[in-house]
Amino acid sequence: MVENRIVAEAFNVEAFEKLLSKAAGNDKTPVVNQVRYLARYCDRLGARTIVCEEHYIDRHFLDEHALFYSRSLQPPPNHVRRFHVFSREFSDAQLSELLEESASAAGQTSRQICDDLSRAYLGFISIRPLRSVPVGRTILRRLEDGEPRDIWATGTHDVHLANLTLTIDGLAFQQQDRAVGACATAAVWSALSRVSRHEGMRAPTPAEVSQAAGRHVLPNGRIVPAVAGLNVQQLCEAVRSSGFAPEVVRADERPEFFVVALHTYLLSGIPVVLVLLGHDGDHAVTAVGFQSAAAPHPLLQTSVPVRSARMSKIYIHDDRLGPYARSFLHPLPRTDDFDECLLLAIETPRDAHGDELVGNGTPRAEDREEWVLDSAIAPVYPKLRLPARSLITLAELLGDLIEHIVGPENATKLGVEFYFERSGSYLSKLSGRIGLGCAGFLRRVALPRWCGIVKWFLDERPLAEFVYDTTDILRDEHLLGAELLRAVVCLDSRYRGDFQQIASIFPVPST
Amino acid sequence: MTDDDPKTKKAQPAAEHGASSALTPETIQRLLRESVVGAHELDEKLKRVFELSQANALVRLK
Repeated sequence: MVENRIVAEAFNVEAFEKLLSKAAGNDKTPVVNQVRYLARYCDRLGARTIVCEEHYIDRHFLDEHALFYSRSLQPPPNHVRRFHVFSREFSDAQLSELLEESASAAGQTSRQICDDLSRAYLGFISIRPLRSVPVGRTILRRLEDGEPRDIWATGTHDVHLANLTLTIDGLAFQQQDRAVGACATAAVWSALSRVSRHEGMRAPTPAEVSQAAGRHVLPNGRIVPAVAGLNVQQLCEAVRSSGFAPEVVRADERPEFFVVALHTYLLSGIPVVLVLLGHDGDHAVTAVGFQSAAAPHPLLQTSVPVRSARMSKIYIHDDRLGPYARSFLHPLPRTDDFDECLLLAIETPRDAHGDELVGNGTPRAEDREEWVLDSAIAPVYPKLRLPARSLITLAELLGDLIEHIVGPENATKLGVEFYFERSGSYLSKLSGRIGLGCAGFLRRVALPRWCGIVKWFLDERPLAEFVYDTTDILRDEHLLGAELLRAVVCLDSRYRGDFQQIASIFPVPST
Repeated sequence: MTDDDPKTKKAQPAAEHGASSALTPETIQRLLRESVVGAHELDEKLKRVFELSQANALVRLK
């Protein structure tokens, strides 16, 4: 008879490593890197208690099982073990009390119990019954990295543990199993899991991603087992098959604009698959967030004062390591021997103590692994047709005008960034930013599902936002973007008259 | 009072802060028109950045 077993115990990093390995049936061979990373990551998150769920049917592993493992001579079980991690101390007996309290409470009190526990909930790790590749679908909270300038493309997930509903904000991670999926499968799957859920769709499983990637083109041979890997073309096909459009950008041609695009998609909450070139083969990871430095990098600046030039750290899901691994952007100038390029230095677990895996300090140079950034794929909503490229062009069109408004003495203090946002969310976030008298604007403005925003800053403070329709393309710059501009939102009352004057020229609603 | 009246100008908070640039529709049109060539050139350069080459498309990821 199938029976679950839920047990709480105190967290201890070494014991947790062993527990995770044992859960995969691996108590003899060395602990795999990903397990070591996860145990240390949970420690840094402040883990105090682990709740193990012995029998959990994970849809993503079940699909892998159905596609591959169920047809093996000796198939593994079709369920995973889930380990829930909490930053609060409680015993196994206290867990029983919590479950009973929640079961006997009325709706609102029960919700309160879950909300309280969710505040201490750090997420879960699924362990597949696969000894060498145990880490299945895992969602953990992001680690604060000591700076307030972090941006994350993550989403909120409801997690059910017995009768409790917990919430966690994060991006799904899993290790490639080399049977159903390669590193590229894991990277695309992570990105699609965020955008699918954001659009109210069911996230595809790794098996679905693999099958979609190999449906039409097989340049490297068979897809399952996944030992041959996938190419970029196949990743684009997997994105398309999942109901999204693969927006592509290359890093080997004007790296500064590649960084603008990466900044734009992450700021829009869209994880980006990064294609990396290495000495011993190529690799794919998912960019899930970034951190900005105080000053822009000279090699990342463009003709418009892009804030992306300050992007320094990129947080990645790297299936060889774990979730939210830190990496550093290093733009290299053109030389006699090499074209300009972008390096991504990924922190690796080379330190004997593993301290730098998810650390807060600056890691030693030898603990970083350098890759050349080749290209990126962002899965976007299909009707979001206006690319990041056009937002840059539109900012270039407006640049002189904005400089004129703020005056030559302030021109060097200007900054601009780009992002896409669902219009309902955009309008609701205007609350508290545009003040009284905006009812007329809100009644007039008409936006598509996704809008494109060119946001100007003056001296680090928001100045104005130009809001564009994304359901069409920028056909002719001679129309000055008029065919796409839908609203002008002034965020600095000193310049309201100027921005209203601009809006009246196009003419579009303004605040 | 007219727009040129110093009292009128003093009454406007933006002018007090020295922030308003007194944009006219003609100035806006002129500045936008002047930016068109540069924007068009930039857009042409960006085309190559936002399209994968054959080499990019065939990178094999394991």
